[in-house]
Amino acid sequence: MSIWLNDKTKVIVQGMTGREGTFHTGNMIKYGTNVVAGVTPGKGGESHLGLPIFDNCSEAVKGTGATASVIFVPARFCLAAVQDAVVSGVKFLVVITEGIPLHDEIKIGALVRKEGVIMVGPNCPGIFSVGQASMGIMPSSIFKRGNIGLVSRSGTLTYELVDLISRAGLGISTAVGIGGDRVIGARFIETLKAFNDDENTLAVAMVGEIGGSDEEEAAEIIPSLSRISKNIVGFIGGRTAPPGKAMGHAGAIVEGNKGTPQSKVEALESVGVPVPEKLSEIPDILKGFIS
Amino acid sequence: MDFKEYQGKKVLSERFENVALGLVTSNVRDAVGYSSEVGFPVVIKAQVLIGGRGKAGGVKLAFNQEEVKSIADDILGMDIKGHKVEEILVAKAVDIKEEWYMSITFDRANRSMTLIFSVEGGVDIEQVAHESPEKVLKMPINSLEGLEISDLKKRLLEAGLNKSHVDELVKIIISSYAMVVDKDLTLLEVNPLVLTDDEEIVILDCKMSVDDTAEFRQSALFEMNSEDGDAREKMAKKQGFSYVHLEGDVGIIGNGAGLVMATMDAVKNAGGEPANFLDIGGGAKAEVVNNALKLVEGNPKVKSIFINVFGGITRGDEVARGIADVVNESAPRVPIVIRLTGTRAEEGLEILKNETDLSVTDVMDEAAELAVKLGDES
Repeated sequence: MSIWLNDKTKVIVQGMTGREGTFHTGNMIKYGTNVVAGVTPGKGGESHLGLPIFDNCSEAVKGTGATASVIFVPARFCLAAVQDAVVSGVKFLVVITEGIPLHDEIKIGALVRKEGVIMVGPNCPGIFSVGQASMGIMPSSIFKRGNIGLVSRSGTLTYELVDLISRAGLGISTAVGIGGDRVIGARFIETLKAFNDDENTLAVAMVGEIGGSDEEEAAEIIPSLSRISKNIVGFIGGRTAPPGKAMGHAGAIVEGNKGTPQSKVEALESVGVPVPEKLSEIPDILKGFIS
Repeated sequence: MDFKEYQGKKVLSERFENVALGLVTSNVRDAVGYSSEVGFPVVIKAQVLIGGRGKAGGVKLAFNQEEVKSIADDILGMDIKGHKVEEILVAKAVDIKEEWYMSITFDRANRSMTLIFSVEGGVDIEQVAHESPEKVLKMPINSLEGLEISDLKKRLLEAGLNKSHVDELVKIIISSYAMVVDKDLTLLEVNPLVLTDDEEIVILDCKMSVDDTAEFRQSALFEMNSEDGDAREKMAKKQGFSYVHLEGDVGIIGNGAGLVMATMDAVKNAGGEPANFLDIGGGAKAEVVNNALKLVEGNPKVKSIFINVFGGITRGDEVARGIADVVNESAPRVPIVIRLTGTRAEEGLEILKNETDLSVTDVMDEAAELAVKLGDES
């Protein structure tokens, strides 16, 4: 029915008592997400939004049986928050926080890989399983339920595409904003594999952007995704961006001959993934896949 | 943020003894005075944030006072790939026996820092890497475990270095990596790292970059403020949004890096050229939009402006408020096209329709075409 997150998933929120955490946790609960607790060091024993607050994840997991955590803490505390979550045994993490220093991101990435934790982000809008649950900040009003999986490096471009898909009469199973930072947890590869294993997802739209080589690496494994390999459409943002300039996302930068839009488009097209120039062409291509 | 050579060396000298610090000056007389003090020959180097200084004539040896005077005169004020030389570094030349290359840099493919070392350093390192990659040692560094010292020693010995040099180098590399982590550096490159005739290992040149997101814990480094970047880009950063100056004439404002990049692409698809990238970020308030619009309009090349906002955290009515305030304060110099959708877009469109006579639409491709067309006509 969805990947990584459903209406049963017990979710804790790290940084729930902060301004952002409060606002978005409220929306997540309203949407039906099974939020069971918050974690704020020093506020253990209090309650917030009608939920218990714990000092750390280990106590929250012990007290509630949570298996997933979404992190809203400020950048400077994020490495510690991820360490806390990983030790607690949580298996799925979403990190919304932006502006985490590179060396902290490298350690966070290495830690979750070592411990086998799936992490979405950092610096991302989160994950949204339509009709079930949300971990993050995606606006629920634009979603319709359906069979399209969506994975994107960009936040607002995710909303843009969801909106186009909804207006075209199609719907989403799960949307994952993997983030545009230099080091991220789940990349296209892991997310596409998860969609391949989700019977409810019939086609996938992947929104990439300039910088790095995640799209090229994804292209290498796409032929092995027997169920969805022929039903993937791609998009690359920043085709007109000049080399050497980071376009807002720390990761969206063409360095030397690496990360160019041409190389990404060619890699995807070579494995049969169409990559239209306009986002607005995507819904029709998706319709072609699932009709 | 990137550091000029002398700034990077100053940082390195906190931990290393053998750094060719020399004297930094923008004054020819000081250069002459310093050279007479330390003795000839001296090397005179342009201090700019761009590679290839040597090949551009920005690095020269001088053997007496007259040469120092004429070379310093030449290099100061020189333009190297668009960077004006305002400072030179003067240092006593060393007798070089061997030139090595060492760097520690972020390696995106491995999602880690990587150590790169070569016994064939110097100005042609890129050629060496290209033609004889086997002469370039690359070791990804595990951020949780640190450097693997025994492996590093083994590979340096295999590269043909003798044992005493290897022992010394390993110490340098360990200290370098510690510095990279402690100071949040994204790049530390020492090229060349030289072995002198006296068997000393000396840091002769360096490139250093510190991670912008680590400013909150590296304030001392950021106070050195070496940026000589675009004035508009700096101003934008102060005002809380991200701006990149481009060469076209369609000004672009949007929320979210991905959407702004897609907006640039849409303008290009419609036959136009983007004048800039400007991301007002998530949750931007009216005042930010107001400042962004002023900045873009202030670029004399801009002939039309396309504002593309998808309300999520950013509210459409806030954005509309900012736009309305600017255009009501003074009539815009160029046509403005607005595409607004998402959270509170209807309220926003209402504000724009009632208070302004700007072009408004909710379809991105149409808006891009209109912005290009209006720009061509103006």
